[in-house]
Amino acid sequence: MNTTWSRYLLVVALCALTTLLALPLRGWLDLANIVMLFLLLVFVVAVRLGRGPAVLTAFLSVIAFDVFFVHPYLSLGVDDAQYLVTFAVMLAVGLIASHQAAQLVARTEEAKAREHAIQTEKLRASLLSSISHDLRTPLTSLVGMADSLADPRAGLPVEVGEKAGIIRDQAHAMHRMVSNLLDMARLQSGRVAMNLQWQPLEEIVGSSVRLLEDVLSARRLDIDLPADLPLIRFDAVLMERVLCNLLENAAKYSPPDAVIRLAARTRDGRLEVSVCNTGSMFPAERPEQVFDLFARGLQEPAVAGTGIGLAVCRAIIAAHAGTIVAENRDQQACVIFTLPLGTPPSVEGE
Amino acid sequence: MSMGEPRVVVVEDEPQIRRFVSDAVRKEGCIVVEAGTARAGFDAVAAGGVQLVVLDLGLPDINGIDFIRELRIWSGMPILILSARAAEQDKIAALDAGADDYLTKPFGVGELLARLRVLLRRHAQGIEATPLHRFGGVEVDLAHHWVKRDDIEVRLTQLEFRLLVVLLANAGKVLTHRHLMHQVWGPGRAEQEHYVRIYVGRLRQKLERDPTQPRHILTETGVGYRFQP
Repeated sequence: MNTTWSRYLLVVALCALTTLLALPLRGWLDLANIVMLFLLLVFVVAVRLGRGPAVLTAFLSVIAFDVFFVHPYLSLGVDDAQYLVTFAVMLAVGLIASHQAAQLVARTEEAKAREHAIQTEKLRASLLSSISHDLRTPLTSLVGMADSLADPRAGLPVEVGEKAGIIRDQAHAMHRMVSNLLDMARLQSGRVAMNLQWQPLEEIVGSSVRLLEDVLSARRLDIDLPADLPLIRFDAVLMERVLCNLLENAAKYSPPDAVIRLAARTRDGRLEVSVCNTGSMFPAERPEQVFDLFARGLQEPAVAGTGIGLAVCRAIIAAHAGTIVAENRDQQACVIFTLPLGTPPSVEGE
Repeated sequence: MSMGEPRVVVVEDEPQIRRFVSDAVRKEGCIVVEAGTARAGFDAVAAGGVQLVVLDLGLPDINGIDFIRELRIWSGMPILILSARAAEQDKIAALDAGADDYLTKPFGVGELLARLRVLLRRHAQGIEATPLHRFGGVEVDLAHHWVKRDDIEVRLTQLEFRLLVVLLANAGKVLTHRHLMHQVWGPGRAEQEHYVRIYVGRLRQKLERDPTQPRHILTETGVGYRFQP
């Protein structure tokens, strides 16, 4: 409040000062030019101090002009009625100028804030991409070199080759983790550019399974996709990450002989996709906890560490206006997500 | 230049990655020229006798896309890109500029060599195009317009057949959605890329043993498709 009052006091002082400076010029300058001096003051105050002080300046200027420059001096009365027009115009111009100037200042500040936000976002994006590059480079060398050693043609003892294969698979797993962390950072910044396209779910099911070949090849995988599923609008790269995370989790937290099931169907205007595994369960109480980032305090050690993968799934599904839940059904641990069906584009026959 | 030992230029600025890629390509029976910068890579390719380039997209000195465009001015040799995930637009730009295929880091040696073999074979065949193609129990005679799967004739619509022709003619090459749309449906339909996805789905239903886990008509997520014989 203090600063507000001091601004208004400053305005009064400025009006007095302007009057004092203009007084000696009273005989020399045309009154129209004196008016200009006061309007200049209104404008400067509007830019520097904001709208309220500028409005006060406009009123004070009119009074000062009347009292000190218009006959009779030192009185609010006027001899010549045409000065009433001058007062009115002066007040109007002062008010409009103060309004415009104040808006200009506000817009400039907004633009500055926006510019700052853009710079921060750019910095964040370039930081993310350089971290991503720095983490991926050694992992690429690790995967490649371990894979070279794991090749039977490398002529190494079988046991050494097997260990090299494990190093390769672990480096792959680490890369998936790193990708999840980076995706999470991108999604949380809220500025992920989504590439939404109408496409069949089948495509990313195939590509996800292919990406996870080293994890899934030894597992029993059961895929149930109706042939007549409609096209769905989604970002393929992000949705592939959802399926990969769900399939990888299903494999990671179930015994080797468990069955992993991926199924899809349409229901109540939505696509429903479920990834289930036998042989392990989610904690019975509050299974939705598994979606929390770095879920901690879970009673059952078997699900510790699922945090980042499922949190990324939830963020991606939410960005698609979908829902995702974890539940135990028919002795299976299931994650079920839905996506809106919408109206796919038409396809002409041949 | 002997046809038995293809010459391959590996352009990658990270020495450890360059090393394992070069070692693997060398074991495959190729002569490898290593380059740590785009400039050095370009000089190595310009020296002549090179059959294939493995190119990292993130080189410090020259933009990978510019490298591809420069090379495509005078050579049609296969270009295999090494690129990061989450860079789909870069991959599409590289493919549009004339690259043939890409590997997303990190990748295994087996995958690298499989891609390399397909590209080298296709390049060596050159213009000796054959109308007969075989893959995974499927036989195609492009000259007589028939397709058989496990010796049973498969009926394809005109568009399905045209799509198959383009895929077969570009084995090992990643084809973007837009490119396929243009090749099969003609120009001016860029807004209708879902056609490509639907027709690829139909081809898979008719030709792949398990359409949900295709072995030959592969999806390159966010980019396009690749036919793997």
